[in-house]
Amino acid sequence: MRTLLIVEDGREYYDFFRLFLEKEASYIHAQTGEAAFEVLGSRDVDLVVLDMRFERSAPEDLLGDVEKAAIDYFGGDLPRAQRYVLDNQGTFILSEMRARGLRQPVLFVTDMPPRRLANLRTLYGRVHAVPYFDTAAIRGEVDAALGEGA
Amino acid sequence: MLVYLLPAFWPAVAIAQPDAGDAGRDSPEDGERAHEREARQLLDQGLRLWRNGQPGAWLVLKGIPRETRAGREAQERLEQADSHYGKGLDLLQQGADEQARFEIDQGREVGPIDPHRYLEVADVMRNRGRRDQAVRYYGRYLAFMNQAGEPTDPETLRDIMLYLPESQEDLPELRQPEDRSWQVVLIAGAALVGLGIALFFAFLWRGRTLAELVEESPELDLRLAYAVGCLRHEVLKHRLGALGDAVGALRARKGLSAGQLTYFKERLFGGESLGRIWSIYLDTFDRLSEHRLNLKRRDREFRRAGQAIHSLESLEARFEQPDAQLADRLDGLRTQISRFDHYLKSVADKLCRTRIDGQLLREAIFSVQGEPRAAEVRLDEIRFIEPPADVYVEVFRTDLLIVLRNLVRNAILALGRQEDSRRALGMEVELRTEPSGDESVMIKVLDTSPEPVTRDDIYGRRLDRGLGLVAAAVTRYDGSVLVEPGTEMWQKAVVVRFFRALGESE
Repeated sequence: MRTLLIVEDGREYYDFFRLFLEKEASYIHAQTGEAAFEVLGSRDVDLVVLDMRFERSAPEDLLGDVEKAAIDYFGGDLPRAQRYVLDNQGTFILSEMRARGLRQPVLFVTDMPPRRLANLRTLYGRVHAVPYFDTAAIRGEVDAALGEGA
Repeated sequence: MLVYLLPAFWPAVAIAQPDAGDAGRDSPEDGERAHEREARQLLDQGLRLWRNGQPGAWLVLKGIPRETRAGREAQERLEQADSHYGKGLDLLQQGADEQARFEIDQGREVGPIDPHRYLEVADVMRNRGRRDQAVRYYGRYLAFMNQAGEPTDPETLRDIMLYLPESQEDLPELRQPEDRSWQVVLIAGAALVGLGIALFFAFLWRGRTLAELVEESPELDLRLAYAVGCLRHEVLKHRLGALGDAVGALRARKGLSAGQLTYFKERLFGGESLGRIWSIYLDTFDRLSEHRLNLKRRDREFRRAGQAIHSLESLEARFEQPDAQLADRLDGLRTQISRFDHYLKSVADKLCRTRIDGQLLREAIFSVQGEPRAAEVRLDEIRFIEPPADVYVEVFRTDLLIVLRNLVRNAILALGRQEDSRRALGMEVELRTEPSGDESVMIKVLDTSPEPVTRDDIYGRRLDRGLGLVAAAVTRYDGSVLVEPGTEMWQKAVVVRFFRALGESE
């Protein structure tokens, strides 16, 4: 049985996968990047499902250097940088995963431009995305992601 | 809910804050933020008036409190524009029409003219025997003074009146009330009644659709885009995104499981109601657009989506005993919601975009070289590296040119101040992939001047160098300005960075 780790700030992803893709895999839930790394360090996980926006997370739970983002991207404007880090938290978790040598494929459920997805693949290897919560599309991408590694 | 978070992260969006009852609990920081927001709204309004060539732009921009960021940006814009207009008028007085036109055009690219200068314009025209134009500008000057509530110097007024004894039709504000006959008043009254009736009907259909507003008001694009993103994320993805699976499960032989039923009921009817969230988003869009949208009546896609959401809410009782009919009903609503999502996506792709190409870079350099001060600087070399193809940024082209021209001007004038060594200027564009998968477009202005430019020069609002305006304009578009040490022959590079637009037209 496959094991999927779902990382999100709420429970929507976890509930959806458990209820609509119950036979596909067993699921583990984590609500921060650090919690996800603990799971990945102790359990065999086949694929990581990542939320993109973590608007309900506490600032201290977010990965990513807000001050650097403020200087690099927003002329020193910290609130804008904080928003950016929060809106793209899924990619910051992915970046940290790879930095820690965690190579599992990743699936985003988010509508991202094809070029951005291509960039993420160039940077981080096996990255997939589906735009909506759609069981058929998700099942297809999970199979594709796990097939790549086979 | 996400819309409540918006103010914390984006001052300009904070006008969406829905709960007026919280006003009494505002902290000083909230008050300051609100002050900044109001100033930003005024700046947007002034810039819109100016871009549309409407009167009142200067007064609006001038009136923005100086202690706010928007106020400083407005002030800097007005000062820079005024410097060009002033030079232009001096040159016009000297008969150097060609150079004067150039300076005035430069001013027009930055901001509106100070209406006090209409008097100078009129005097210049008068001295050159161009009576019609003198009349027009005297009229504008007096109209402005009247509008601004400023007294006109009696000597000046007498002088104008003596010059224009028969031209008062151009100066309606100078007419005495007794000049108006009762017939005129009656006709005007009847016209007003007619107008009032027409306005009443027009009122119901006032405003724009979202697609229309995005096309005509690029200064609102970033804020609207963020709100569109939040709406798609919070409502269409998280609350309604799994409707297709609900339909599929209802139509399957075994139907919805108890867990699935609970899941859908929570999504559709739990927590803050969909209707309430929808209503908050409509208010948010309305406020972000400065009340220029009419999504409920004029925007067919919003209207239909609103109807679909209210229909969904009315189905709550039928989830107690879900059946195939419910599946058909949900399927129809899902189609409408999906259509609305495509509409929002297409609007987002229409947001203002500027192509970063060689033509843009050359325009920035050559237009500065045509300026009198910059033209005096002899450059030994101008080096372009053609940008990569099909690179767009979500920045209004005029604003981007203002930014680039300021940086180029600053570099050329610095080169002019250096000793006899080689004077070279360069422009190039680099793309950088960020850890988030986004791309940054780095537009570099390179020079060989040893004169340093620091981050403080840029963000410390050194008015004398025009760089504060650069920082303010760049910040409006989620961009930044960086200073990098030079490589090869260059002493330094001032880099303007924006996120690359990665939508449909990428």
